[in-house]
Amino acid sequence: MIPNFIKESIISNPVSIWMEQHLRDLFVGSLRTGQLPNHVAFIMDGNRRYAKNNGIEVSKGHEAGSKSLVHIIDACNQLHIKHVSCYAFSIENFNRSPQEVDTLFEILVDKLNLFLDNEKDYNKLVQIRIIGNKSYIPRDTLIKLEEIERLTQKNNDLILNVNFSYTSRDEITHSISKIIDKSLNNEIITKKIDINEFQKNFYYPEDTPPVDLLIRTSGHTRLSDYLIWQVNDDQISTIEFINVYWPDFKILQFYYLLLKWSYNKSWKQTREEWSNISIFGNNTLNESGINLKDLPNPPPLVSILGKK
Amino acid sequence: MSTKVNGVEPVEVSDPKLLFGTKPVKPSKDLIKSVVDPRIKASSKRAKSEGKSITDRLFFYLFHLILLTIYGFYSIFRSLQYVNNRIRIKFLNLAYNPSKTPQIIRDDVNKLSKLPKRLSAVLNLKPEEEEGGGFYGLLNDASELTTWTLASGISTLSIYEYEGTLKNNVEDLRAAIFKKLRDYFGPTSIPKFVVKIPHLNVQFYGLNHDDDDNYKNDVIDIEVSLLSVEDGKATIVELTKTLAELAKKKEISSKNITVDLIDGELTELVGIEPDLIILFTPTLALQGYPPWHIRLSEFYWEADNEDVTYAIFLRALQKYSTCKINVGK
Repeated sequence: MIPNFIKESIISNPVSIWMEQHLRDLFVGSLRTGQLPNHVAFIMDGNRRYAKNNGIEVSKGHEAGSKSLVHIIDACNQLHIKHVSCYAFSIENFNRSPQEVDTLFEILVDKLNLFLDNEKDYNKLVQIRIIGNKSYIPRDTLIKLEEIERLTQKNNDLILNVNFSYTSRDEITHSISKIIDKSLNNEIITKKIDINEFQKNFYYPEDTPPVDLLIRTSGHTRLSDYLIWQVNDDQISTIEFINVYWPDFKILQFYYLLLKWSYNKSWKQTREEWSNISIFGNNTLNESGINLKDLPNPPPLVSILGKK
Repeated sequence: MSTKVNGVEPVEVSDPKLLFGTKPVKPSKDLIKSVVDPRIKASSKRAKSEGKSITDRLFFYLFHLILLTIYGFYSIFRSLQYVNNRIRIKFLNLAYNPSKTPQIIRDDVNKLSKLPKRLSAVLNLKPEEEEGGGFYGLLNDASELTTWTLASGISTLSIYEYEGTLKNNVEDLRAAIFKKLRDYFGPTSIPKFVVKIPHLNVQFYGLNHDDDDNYKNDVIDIEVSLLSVEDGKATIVELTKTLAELAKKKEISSKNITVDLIDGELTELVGIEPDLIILFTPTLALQGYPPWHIRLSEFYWEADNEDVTYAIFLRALQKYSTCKINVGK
């Protein structure tokens, strides 16, 4: 066991800081040359258990969680990941004590205000979008959130989708309701409603790419009504459950998950390319099948019986 | 018309403001040269940009080489992890074996604090050439799973298979379940079962008891629902179309569309959301599982496992028994 003071002196040593910074730059630079997700989503779970384990107040746990989010957004920005979603507050969370709900609202508004500050040029980089059922949000909080949305709407480097007062089932219901209204107003033909049309009516704006990677912390292996429509196809999305509390989720762990994603994606693509290369030609069936008449003519048919 | 010098038109310098703007500037040597011969400026600019792009490209290849090296190390790590996982699964399969005995299964689950009320499993139709693969392999997996579920005391099971192979071959599945139940419980006390296809709203009782009212009215020991990709997003879209038609006939309004209403409809069309979904796949591959039904469900899968074995089934139940259920709290 290494004593704490030695650990701290190693961590705070200028040489260690320099090395960490350069290693990080090297890793970010390398990751950027491979495939990276366009849209990463987070279920930031474990703030309260983190607080309990460390003997601190619940509000301090949420505070630590919000700091963790800022670090992750910073990392996403460096990696040029354009869309980030985070499950900030579920509709079910309104069941918590009014005191905790108020604290969560305060922390959220406070942390989102950070993106209006000049520090690190966030105010020029990050666009904030509030995704969820706004009719449940208290009026004073909603005004503040909409003001933040308005002030950041022209930023385009990173889009932070804050899922606030959100559940996926509510989003699906919202889409159904909106489609019915459009159908009544003859804006769409009922028979032509399909999955794409359905998705266009979500709380998410149309320009949002599919979720490539969903990360849930705290070890729970369930989705808790978050992006259930978006991540149910493993050909598009990858789900990662990791066993650390959100405030303990380190950037290095995030890089590892991105590396894993990038490796799997490249491997899958390579395998697909190889499967198309065959010394016998491409023998895979396309959707329309193979027409017998399209095949090249066979050699002449000759019978042993002569001309008969 | 001015003649070209080496293919480039000379610039007429009538007003220096046109060239240097209104701000007083001290023209550099290069700038003056470029005014005299625009090719100089152009070429020096191109050289600069080429230099920059070459440096950028060199850096890109260097970083990409580092990434490929990291991939190499990761692939070695992954191979070792795969071997480790496979060995662990082999040992688990040796350690847990129901020996076709329901009592052993019941003894195993009785050590757990709680069980899921509704269980779901994701099965795959494996290639014919694989051991335990093909259509008959799938039938065997589905029937064995039904028997374990029943023996553990759970009476609702839904089986998701992407293509719907089981749905299209219900008669074979009924026979397979019947045979497996007979193997486990004996020929005289075969439990009663019903196979449902929610999408078609049809039910099949026992091996051949569809017209037997006594069988139907008796307590059914296990319900097996068969799901496929068509029960997922496509069903929600179909429901939307139906509701839109009803709205046009003024039988419903968009204001009446609530989460509870949709939940009621989808419960009718697909079933109630399961408490636990066991994925007998090497990764967490939901394969288009009905999205509405994975709201709070616990997932269990064993990394690098492709087989339907009792060890995985039991470990899934063990994991579920330790889960804390706290909606939103």
